[in-house]
Amino acid sequence: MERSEKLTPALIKAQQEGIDLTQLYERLSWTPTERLKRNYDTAEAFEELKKAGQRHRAGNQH
Amino acid sequence: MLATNIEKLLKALYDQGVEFVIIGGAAAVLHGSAYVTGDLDVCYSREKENLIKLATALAPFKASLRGAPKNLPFRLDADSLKSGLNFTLTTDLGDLDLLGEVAGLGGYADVLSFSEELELFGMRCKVLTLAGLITSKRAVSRAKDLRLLPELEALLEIRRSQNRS
Repeated sequence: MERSEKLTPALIKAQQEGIDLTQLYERLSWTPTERLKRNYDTAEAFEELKKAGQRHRAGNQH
Repeated sequence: MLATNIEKLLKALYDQGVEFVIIGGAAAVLHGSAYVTGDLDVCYSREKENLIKLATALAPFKASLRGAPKNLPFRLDADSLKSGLNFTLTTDLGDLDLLGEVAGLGGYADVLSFSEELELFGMRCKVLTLAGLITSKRAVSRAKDLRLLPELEALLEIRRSQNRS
């Protein structure tokens, strides 16, 4: 972690749960609109991957 | 595309003057969470005037009940909103969940007291606070909600430390 913030119990717990604090700080550097746009872009990409997987599995069944 | 559609959906609500607070996954994302959501959840005021505004705002987007049989009659108007409470909708612009109450918080007035305004796509939108999100996620207590808690609590801690400095 390249930041000066002290690791408080909540931050330590988050790290122990596998949360990457550097990514968290990066997202906080974005505006709320950027955060929302990137989320929906990611959700759309996940959906496309899911559909591609379904098409692939359907193709393998023939 | 989805981001553009959600922007249009928010703009439709905003332009019609609908009283709503963004909640759920979108609120978590707005506060910096890595959670990924494909829909938009809002808590809405159940005042009659607001139900009319809400139905008017959504009218162009062919809202229907998500997952319901295609032959199940449903028309989104103030009366149908009045007769229900929580609606999971699909629209031409994406999935939209309308909640009259939020677990652990209560109705719109309670949720409003746990909201803050954020600038979104050039609009000032009310968003459930991190403290409100944490309270509601704890109350719902599903595995997927509980998994979010450490990150939300870390975000709250960072917010508090930034406010102190």
